[in-house]
Formats: sequence, C-alpha cells, structure tokens
Amino acid sequence: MEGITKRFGSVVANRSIHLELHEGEILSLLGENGSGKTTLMNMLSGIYYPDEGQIYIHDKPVKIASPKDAFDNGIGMIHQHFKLVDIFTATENIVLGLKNEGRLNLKQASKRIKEISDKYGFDIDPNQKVYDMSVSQKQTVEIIKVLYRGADILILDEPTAVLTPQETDKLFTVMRNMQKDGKSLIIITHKLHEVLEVSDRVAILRKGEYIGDVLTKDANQQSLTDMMVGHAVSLNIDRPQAKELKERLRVEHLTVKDIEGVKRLNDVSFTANAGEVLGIAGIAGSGQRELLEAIAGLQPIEPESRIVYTDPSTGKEQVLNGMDPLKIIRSGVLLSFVPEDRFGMGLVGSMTITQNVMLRSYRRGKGPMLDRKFPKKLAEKIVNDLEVVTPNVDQIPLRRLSGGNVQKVLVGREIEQSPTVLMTAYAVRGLDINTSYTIYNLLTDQKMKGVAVIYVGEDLDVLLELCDRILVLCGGRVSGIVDGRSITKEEIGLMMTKVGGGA
Amino acid sequence: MHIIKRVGIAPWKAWMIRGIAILMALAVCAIITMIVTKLNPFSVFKTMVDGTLGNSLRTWRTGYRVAILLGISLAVTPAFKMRFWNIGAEGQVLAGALAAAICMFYAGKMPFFLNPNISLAVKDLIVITCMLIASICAGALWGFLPAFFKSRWNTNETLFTLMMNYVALQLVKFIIAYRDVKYPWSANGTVVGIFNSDQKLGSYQVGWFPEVGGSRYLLPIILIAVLTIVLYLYLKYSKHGYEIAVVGESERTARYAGIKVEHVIVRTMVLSGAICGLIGFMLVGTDRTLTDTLVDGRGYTAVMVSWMAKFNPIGMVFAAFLLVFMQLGAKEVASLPSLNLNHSFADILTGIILFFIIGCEFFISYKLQLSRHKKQGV
Repeated sequence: MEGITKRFGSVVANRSIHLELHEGEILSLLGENGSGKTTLMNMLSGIYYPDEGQIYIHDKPVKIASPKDAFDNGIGMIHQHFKLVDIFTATENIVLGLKNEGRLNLKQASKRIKEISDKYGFDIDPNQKVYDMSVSQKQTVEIIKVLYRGADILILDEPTAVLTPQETDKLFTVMRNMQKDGKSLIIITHKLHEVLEVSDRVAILRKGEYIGDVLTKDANQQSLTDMMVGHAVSLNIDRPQAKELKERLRVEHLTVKDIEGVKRLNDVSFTANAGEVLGIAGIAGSGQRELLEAIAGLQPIEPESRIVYTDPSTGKEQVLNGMDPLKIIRSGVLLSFVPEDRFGMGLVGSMTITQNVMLRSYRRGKGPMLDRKFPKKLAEKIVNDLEVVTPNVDQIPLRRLSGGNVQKVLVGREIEQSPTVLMTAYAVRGLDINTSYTIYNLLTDQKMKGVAVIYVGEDLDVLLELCDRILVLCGGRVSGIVDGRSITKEEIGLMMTKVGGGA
Repeated sequence: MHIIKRVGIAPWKAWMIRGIAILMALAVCAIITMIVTKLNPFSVFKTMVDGTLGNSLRTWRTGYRVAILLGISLAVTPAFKMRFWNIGAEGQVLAGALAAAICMFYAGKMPFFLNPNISLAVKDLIVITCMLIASICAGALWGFLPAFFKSRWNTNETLFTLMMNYVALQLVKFIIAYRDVKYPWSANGTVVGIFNSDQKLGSYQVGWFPEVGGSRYLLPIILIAVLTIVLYLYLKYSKHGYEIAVVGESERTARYAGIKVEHVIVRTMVLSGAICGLIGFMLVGTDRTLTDTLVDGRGYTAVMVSWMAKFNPIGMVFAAFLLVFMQLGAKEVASLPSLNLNHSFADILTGIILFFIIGCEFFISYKLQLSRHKKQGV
C-alpha cells in the first residue's frame, strides 16, 4: 500500500500510509484506538475506497473497490463482529454468496471444508448449525470462509478479544500453519504479549499516520508501547493497600436461572469490601454477566439468594433482593455498573455525550422537564478529566467516537455518580494500553476512596496486578476466592477449568 | 463509482438537496405533462396553486387540512420515536370522533339543550367539555389496548393497531346505520347529516365549534399550532421525552437506567391515542357531522409525514403542507373540465413528487464518488 489517504468529512483517518506485507509473513498492526488500523484494513478488503494512494499486489497496481475485488485479489478479512447466518450450518455459511457452477453441491463443499480444516488444523464440524457454536467456532467458520474463497492474504481484526487463553493458543497454531503454507497474515490486536508471540514484524500506526515497523525479535512490550503512544508509558499498576476494609456487599447463595431453567449461577456466596478491588475471573460465559446483572437488579434471582448491602454512613443492612434498578436508586444505594455490552446496555449510540451522561441522573430536579445544564457540565468534566477526544459534547452522536473514548465516557459517568459499589465488566476490552491504564488507575483511586470495586476481567496478568482478592467462577459456581498478591496465573487457570482447582 | 456513507451532513446542505429534489420533481412533472397531454405544464401548476391557495375559502380549507394531518402526525410521533410501530392513528382518530359525535348527537335531543331560554354559550360549554373528555378517553383507550397487550404478552403492535382501525371503522358504520327507535342517526342508514342543524329547535348549533376570526377553521389551526410546540418541547426537553428516546434505542439500556419499559410503552401510547382522540374531536366539532370517511386515510398518511420529517414536529409542518398541497392541487387538476384530465393524472404527478422527495434522502445519507483512479498498466 503506498501513499494511502482516507478522509471522513474533515477527519483524516489515514494519512499517506505506506505499508508492506511480505509473502509468508505474520504482520501485527498496532496502534491506539482511533489510530486508523481498521480503516486501513477496510480499504484493503474493499469496504472503503482510498481517497489517494495505490495498492499493489505482487508489484502490480490493483483497484479494490468492493469486497468482491478484494476476494478476486486473494484478500480476505475476518471482522471483529461475525457475519454469519445463525440457522445455517457451517458449510452453508461458507458457500453462501459464492457464484459457481450451477447446482449447489453441499456434499462436495463439506469435503473441501474438511480438507482445509485438516490442512491447517481447524477443529470444526461442517454440519453444525451456527447457533450451536461457541464464539471461537464461529470465528473458525469465518476464517475457513475466507480460505475457501482462495485468499492468500488474511486480515484478522482483533481476533483474540473474544477468546479464552486456550482458544487463543489454538488460533495462533492455525495461523502459523497458514504461514507455513505461504499465506500472508495481518493481525490487529491490542494485546502486546500476543503481538510478541505470534508475529514476525510489527507495523505501528499513530493518529492515522504510519510510524514505522520493527522486527518482532527486536521489540519488547515497553518499546512497542512507547512507539504506539509516542512517549514513554509506565506499565505498572499501583496496588496500594486501603487502611481499613469494611463489608459493603454480601452475596449469599445467589442462584440465577435463564429462561430455559438452566442455572447460570449456582449458590454463589462472597463479600465485597469497601477499599478493595475484588476481581472476578473465569472462562467467558461462566456466569460473570449474570452475577453483575443480578446485583444490579437486572436478572431475576431464585428465592434462596440474598444480596445484602451495608450502608456506609449508617451501617444499616439492606436486602436488595427483588429490587429493580429504579428501586435500588430510590433506596439510596449508590451502585455503579459498567456493563460488558456498551451500546446494548450502558449507552445509547445515537445520543450525544451529554445525553448519555444524563442516563443515570436525568431524574434530578423537580418538574417534568430535563435539567440540561448539570449534565452538560458533568459531560465536560468527564471529557476533561479523562481526556476524551471529541469535537463537542452535545452534538456528535457517541457512536462516532472511537471505542476507547466511548468506554471513558461510560466509566467516567459511573464514577461521577460517586458510588459506594462499582462493578465493571470487561472495562478495558478492546481498549489500547494507554486508555486501559487510565482506567486501572481510576479503579484504584475509587478503591482508595472507600468504594467496593468489583472487576470482571479476562486478562489474568491484569487481574493479578490490580485486584486484592480474586473470585474464580467455573460453570456458574465459585471455584475459589484467593488473595491477589500471592496467587499465580497457573493456579487461577486451573480453578477456571475445574471447581476448586487441582489437577 | 462508489456509494459512500456520509458522516454527518451540514443542515443547510441537506435542505439544499431537498430543494433541488423538489425543483427536479417539478421539472419532470412538467415534461411528463407536456408529452402526455400536450398542455402547458405551467397552466397545470397554476391550477394546483389555484385549487389550494386560490381564494380565501380555499386557503382556509387547505390550512385546516394541513392542521389536521399535522395533528395526527404529531400524535403518532412519540410512539415511533419509541420504535412502537403504531399504524392505528386512523382508528384512534375515528374512535375519538365517534365519542364526540355521540355526545353532540344525544345532547341535541335532551330537554335541557332543547330549552330555548338557556343561552347557547352555557350549552356549548357543557357539551364541548363532554365531547372533549369523551373523545380523548376513546382515543386513549384505542392506544392503550395494543400497548397493554404488547407490554404484557409481547403481541405484535403493528397488527394489533391495524386491527383496531377496522374495529373503529365498523363501529362508526354501525352507529351511522343505527336505527335508534326515538332518534335515528340517519334517514337512510348511510348519511347522518349536520348535527343540531334545525334552526327551529333550541339545540340549534349545540356542540358546534365557535367561529374564530370569521372562520370555523381558525380555532383548530390555532389549537394544533400550540400542540406542535408543546409536543416539540415534550419530546426534546422533558424527562418523558428522554425516556421515550432511550426505550426506542435499546430496551436493555432503558432497564439498566432504571426506566420501566412497559410503563413507558403504555404511557406513550395512551398519549398518542389521546392526541388522536383530540383530533377526532376537532374533526367532528368543525365538520359537525360523522361519516365513515371522516379520517379518509390520513391516519396512514400521517405515518409518512412523521417519517419524512424525521420525527421533528417543526419539520412535520412542512411535510404536512406539502402533502396536502399536492393532494388538493391534484384533485383540482382532475376536476377542471377545461384540462380534460382525470384523477389518475393527478396521482401520477403526486407520485413523481413523492418519489423525488423520498428518494433525495438517499443523497443526504450517502454520496456518490467517481473513482479517480483509472486502471494503469504495469
């Protein structure tokens, strides 16, 4: 790619980018949120068309004006959000949209899919329906779909964000197999240890500009971060000890069933103390979401469960069972919740920052009309304090901001409520290093202010550095509650896969 | 050539595109008119303007029709903002009209209202208040039922509101044909006639809307102008309006924020229905009669007005005017013997104009870009 420039209105997303990808190479594309990685890759895969510049494949200039052009040139992209038809099988999804020789021959297609799977070490049943698949299996289907169409250049946009460590390892093995076969791969990821583990070369973007590339063997986490951010960043999380711990939230025998009556949480008991960060670890879907939503009053809970809140000023205990979020607010419990699904639950994408900041506090003030001055001030404060990059607070819809800025708005709003309990689910998912550390520090600040922080996370390294205690969930049960300062990653890993840990 | 999604467009640019679309629509209309009828297109346009704004009576009538269409559009808007697909305005207005008509009709038969010694003002005060309350309640009920079923049992609101239209329509047809032993509604079962129109009786003009400023059309126009402003403020600056917007965007976000989604759905639909009922009341008070074509599809047209204006009450004023202007203008074109055209031709013109106006929204959301790169040799 040479001299690639892409503008959106007055914003320059990519400025004269020059990027090279060699045959049989795994290239990591690194950059903070909003640095233009995805835009650049979208131009390679035909979703956007560059305003300036030229793309060459094997030294030949090509024109990629549509995803079809991209496929014809052997380029395939695996997006962050899968585009599969749920009620179709893997095979049906893979052949969908292919125009070829008359009749559809699913059997033959299955056979070819099997061949591709065996060749690269995928683990997949071509006849399984997509709705029965795990996230990692769906991703496999997406990758095979691209290979089936004969791609030589594969682009993976944050493929590991949704995977467990084990699934990530499997993916990396497959990637290396593809590399050996002469395919070229570009991987976008925020996780530096993955960059170092899997790629041969790293290319770095910052604010839409190409900064440079390094061979992975010459790089380390610190040097990459510095290049990405443009100045030196400290990669340590402070973990001060709070002076006193006081019980704030006590959960007893919490059991939650889903619509089908399956127990998503089974007899979960723990306490969250003021002045500590309680980490929640577990494989994705072990009941983390249900746990936080049950406390927030968004999940019906079984009768034997008890959620008890201790008021910090009066010391009085209050049972939160069966309260909806409004009742919880009205009863004076200051519960903040950063949900996993930002736009599906925590925020409204089409509204402005101010309108989103209002979401928790719009009931303030008497009368039927909204108080608009207060939320605007609050929005401006959050934008200033957390360095949210945005042209304005009350015109641009939130959805147009980059992921990191959106998350800052969400976390900022929840903290500005001056909570006594702060729950966060995957608060740094998809965020760059700089923003992640900002958020870790904010959580630690809250802890030192005497807030009970509950942090659901997926990066075990971070959990071990940030949390005072860690609760490990396994299949909806408490596998153990351990001290964050003394436990090792391996021990937690075992507890995640088996209740109580142990081999 | 590429289609590129625009990221935010300056409002003046959007309006410029819409302006160009209307000019192009008129140009295409003119060309078609010339080719098909060999008439001077400007005489056709002139007829359209004449028919809608030609004299003061026509201007009043146009203004009134704009007001009513605008009122119904305003009524459906809160529900649409909530992504509740309410296509039941037709029935909600009819239900309101029916309730108002029943009040007006039976009041005129009561001894109190027949007594010539009581002043009309007192009678009007009582009857019009009853009509107002009854029609708002009837409209609200028509809005409440689908919302209640939706929030309780998650029934499909589109089908439900549509069915409620037929219920209302059949009720109106029934009452028109109803042979009340003492007071039959109509002589032949089809036409009701003007209520309380017998000058010899004491009930003469009871329940009729007073003429304001020399026209019976001014009062509803003023009321709907006020309603437009109130609804604009309600949707944009009130807590309820905010809740409606959040529920429309994502029910889960609304629950997370402590908004009771079921409650908001029911409340908003009751409001929608109540405003429709109010429009029905105005129709009966102004027209002083009840027919089964009283609403005449405007409950559906209103859906289009609301969407064309992107749910902005101020924008709806223009959208409603445009549609009424075209409908009345087209009717005029069709009815003029000197032009020798039938109604279908008017429909063609309306269709062309709508096509351009709705089609231009594409160019507001997307832009076309010609690729500058020609394929180069190696």
